[in-house]
Amino acid sequence: MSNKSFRTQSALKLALRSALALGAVAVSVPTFAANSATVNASATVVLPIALAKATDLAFGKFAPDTATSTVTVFTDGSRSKTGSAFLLASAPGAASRLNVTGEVSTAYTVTYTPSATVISGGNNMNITFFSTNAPDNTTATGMFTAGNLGLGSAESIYIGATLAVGANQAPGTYAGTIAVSVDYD
Amino acid sequence: MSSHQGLYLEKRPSFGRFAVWLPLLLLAGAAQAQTVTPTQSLSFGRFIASGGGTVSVDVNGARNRGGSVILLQPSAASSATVHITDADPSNASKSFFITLPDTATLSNGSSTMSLSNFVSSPDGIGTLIAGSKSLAIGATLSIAPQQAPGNYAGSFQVTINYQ
Repeated sequence: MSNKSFRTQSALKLALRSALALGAVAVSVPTFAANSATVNASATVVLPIALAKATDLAFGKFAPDTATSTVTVFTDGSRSKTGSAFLLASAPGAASRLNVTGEVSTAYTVTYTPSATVISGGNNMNITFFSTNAPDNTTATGMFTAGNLGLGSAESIYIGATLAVGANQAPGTYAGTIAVSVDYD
Repeated sequence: MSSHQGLYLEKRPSFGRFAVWLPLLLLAGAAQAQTVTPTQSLSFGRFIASGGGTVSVDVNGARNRGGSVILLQPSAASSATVHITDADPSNASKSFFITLPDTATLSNGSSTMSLSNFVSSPDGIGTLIAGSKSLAIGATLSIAPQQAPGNYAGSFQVTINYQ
């Protein structure tokens, strides 16, 4: 009898303790075993790149001679010739200037699709372009292709060219194009 | 018979006491030993918003675009990483649930972009190896048409629960 009573009490005590302990476990799980971290995230929305033509390239006026000549407009806008063509001071010509704007200190690539000739009716002259981002660079011969907008978020491209003027080149107004596009790298 | 019962009664309460208190001790240990530490930010790099769209970064840090967004190179994008450690030897191979947010916000002044479709590797459930595991996390960023240019920043929560 006393044995049986002891067993009942013990079982009850055990059951009670188990219930309390299980309760504690159930409450403890979310408190103790979860752990969080705050993670940073970032993105940079960049200004679109833009290209605007400020000045067209012009060779001005000149008179051909009986032999071939060349007329060059440098990227600083100065004009010179080889051969015996006569440059008219009244129409001195100009280098082309293009303005590129966009995101600060961002590299970009320039691509050119130039005419091989300038045309006036059925007549033409061969033309060779060159460009630079430094306007005073009068020795530029190649094309400026790798730009960077720098801290000012802007850069200018200057385009010059050399015309091959034929002997007794037909008078007229000759025109051609150079298509220029810019794109972020 | 009676002595057999006596033996049974003597052992059972002592086993019971042990069984009841052991889990509590383990949990108390876990609370001190587990750490969840961010080790790399989630970065979407640089892009042009154009007509808007999405930029997603996967768990390997690879970047993909949707809509008319233009991605700029170099990418500078990265997935986030979070390092989980547990110094308690009894937790060395424990599995855990990973809870990622549904959304988060990146902001730059009054301009905002939302993050969604969070993904992680491992996905959903991870397992500690020698008490340590790194998670990689990616997400998708939504960009409005002509989203205002600038540097956007924000944060999100990663929660780890032991199974």
